Amino acid sequence: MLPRDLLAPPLGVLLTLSLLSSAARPQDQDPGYTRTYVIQADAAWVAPGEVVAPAFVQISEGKIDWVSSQDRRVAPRTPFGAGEKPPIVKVEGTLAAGIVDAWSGLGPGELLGERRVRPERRMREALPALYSGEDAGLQAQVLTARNAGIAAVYLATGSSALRSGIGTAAAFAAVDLPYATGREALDCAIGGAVAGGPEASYQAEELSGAFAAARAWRDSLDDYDEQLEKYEKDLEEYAKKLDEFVKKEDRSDKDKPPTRPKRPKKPQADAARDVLLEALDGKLQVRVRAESLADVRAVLAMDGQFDLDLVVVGGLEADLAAEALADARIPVILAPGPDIHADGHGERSFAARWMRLHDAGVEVAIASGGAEGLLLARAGQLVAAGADPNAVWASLTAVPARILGLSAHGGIAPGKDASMILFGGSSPFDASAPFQTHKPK
Amino acid sequence: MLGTLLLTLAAGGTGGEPTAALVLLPDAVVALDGTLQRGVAVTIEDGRITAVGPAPAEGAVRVHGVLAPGMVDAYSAWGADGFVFEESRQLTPGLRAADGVDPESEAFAGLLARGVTAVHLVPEPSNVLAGRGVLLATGGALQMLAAQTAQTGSLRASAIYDQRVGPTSLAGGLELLEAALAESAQDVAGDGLWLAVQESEGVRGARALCERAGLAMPLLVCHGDLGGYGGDLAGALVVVPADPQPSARAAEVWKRLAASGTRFAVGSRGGNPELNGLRTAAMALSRATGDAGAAWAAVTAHPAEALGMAGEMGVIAPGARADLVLWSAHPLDAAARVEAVMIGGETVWRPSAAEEAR
Repeated sequence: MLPRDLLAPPLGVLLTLSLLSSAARPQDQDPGYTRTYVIQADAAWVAPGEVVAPAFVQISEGKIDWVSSQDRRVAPRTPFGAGEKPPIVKVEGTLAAGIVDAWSGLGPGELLGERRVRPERRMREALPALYSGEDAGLQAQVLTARNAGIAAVYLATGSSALRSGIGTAAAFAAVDLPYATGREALDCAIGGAVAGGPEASYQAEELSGAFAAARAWRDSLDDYDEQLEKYEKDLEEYAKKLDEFVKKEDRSDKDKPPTRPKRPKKPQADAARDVLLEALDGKLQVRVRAESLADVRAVLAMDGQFDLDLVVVGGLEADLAAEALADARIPVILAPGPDIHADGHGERSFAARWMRLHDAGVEVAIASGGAEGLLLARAGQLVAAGADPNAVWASLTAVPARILGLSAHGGIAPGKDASMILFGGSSPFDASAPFQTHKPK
Repeated sequence: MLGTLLLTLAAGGTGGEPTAALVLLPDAVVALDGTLQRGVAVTIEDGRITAVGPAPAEGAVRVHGVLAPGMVDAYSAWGADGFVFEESRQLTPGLRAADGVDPESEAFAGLLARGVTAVHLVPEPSNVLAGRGVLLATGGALQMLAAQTAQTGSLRASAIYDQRVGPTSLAGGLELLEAALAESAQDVAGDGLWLAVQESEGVRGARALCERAGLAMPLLVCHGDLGGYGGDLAGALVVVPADPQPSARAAEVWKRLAASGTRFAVGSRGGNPELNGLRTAAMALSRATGDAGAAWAAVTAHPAEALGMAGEMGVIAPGARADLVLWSAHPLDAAARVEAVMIGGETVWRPSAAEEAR
């Protein structure tokens, strides 16, 4: 019989393994889809305004292989000859890409419930591993989102603190949990969007002040390098002089030893500032929750001051600065929320605001802001108010996918995520017709 | 253009004078199962629908769009002049919402423009017995369709518990209700009793009390997690607050309740506060249950039935009021627009008129 210790792997090995796996976790996750099959539908909206009818879509391991108006299945070659063609599933209705919700209420409760907000906390590090039951609350949220036709989301660390952390774009795995993919972004809020206190009014200055301070620190780092170089030279010089001094034979009391140069002080590192530097280097997007015109203008001012990849979130009055936002190429993520302004004040309605931004050439995404169920209803109202249905559909799919860096979302094409919707009426906005969401197998 | 036509044709419809029959032939009508039926003509006479059937050979007026019954808000706060309630007393069965109506309320025009033709305004449900509701038309010559509807009240903890005047528990609430019914059940609730509830104990307690008092079963206004007391609701007609964005669980509960024969009537009070809230709630219901007919009935026929007006309102059928809305597509299609609204056979709203007024 072997001693117990030999049977069980040493604790250290286990710990190392788990550390390694958690370090590797945010990237390269396997969403867990395994099967290969073809869906045959009446039609497919492959991109806004582009329809294939009838539509055959081959899916394997959760990704689209090909889209065609004909059955292009090929029997795989096996060592024993031709294998079986992938099975075909015939459905009624039109397929379309899953919605990309660029502003969702989703997130692990553990992170969103943290009492102390740290600007350097990272959503990617807080996401649960893809095991069923690991975070039942989050799974329920993902199910609600999936029922609403959503295939990918942005998971924010918050939207009411000046800097609440680093969120990430995410898609959904087979076990109905989100896995990080696409871009990460710094979640910020300024002005009226910030929770608490009279200081809210100068939050915008504080935010740009933080970026300016981070930039100044980096400059001081360059100075430090220069100073260090000089110090090293001085040190050599000093060594030489000291040597001369020591070796001097006719040394009198008047001869003083050389002074040792002082080592320059190394600037202190700071995790919160490193995050800002990442943003200044273009590695992180900066999402700023800004509602009032003054706050939107503050974002525009930041754009002029720093080389940042900015996105306006919320943007209740962003349409009033539509041209400037279009010139600065700053996208806007609107959330429908309760459209109280539509009642009696048509010019401030969600539809009017969306149209002004869109007409000015701003990239506008429609996101849920946590109200997934309202997404398609609001989008439909936009169409009823006269908006171009294709542009509205893009606002729910291709545009947010681009903003979030989700190259596998926003359309039906080879290589794209196979989470799709299937609708029975003339558009996904018609709630009188059947509506289903396709979760890959 | 169509709105103008309707307006012209129905211009003589006001003032209660008998008018010539108007036969409308829309592109489609919304059938009871929620599907669109084509080739159906609707005959309107003296403010009511007198016939629904195949188009006559001549005399029918072709109109573009989908004709549907106007929506009825089963349980609302629309049209009130402030809050209708009395907080210094435990029971206020004598309060009448009709006395608190603001005839000039701006909400009416907004509701009309969104296809809502009637609202059931109820007193604030902050007392065990809160008073009588009123059924209002959102436009047209006659505003009060029923000056006094059922007695309303609440057994919801959050709404009625009051440290000063009581009650402070559900048991206390039920006791108060029992005492009030023992005194004069018919006077208080003879025309029906609508009770807001949020858990099984309240439902069972209220039903037992009504049975003992010889009253019909109360109509339940269901708040909170319906899944927690769904077993008590199977097969009943219940009022639910307009919820445009149900959670996955809520959607599943709606689906299961619908499968068990529960019928919903949607009310905006306690739900979505938007003028459009009723329709978005019906869309959510349709998506959750997959039954567009039942979802559309939840904002038309079922509220009418809850108000004791089954067949008289909320349907396109002979004998029903001609409260009709012409839509550009199926009314549960979010992209559909209201093209014209008719109340009591009179065209009371069309988009061009609203634009002119702006």
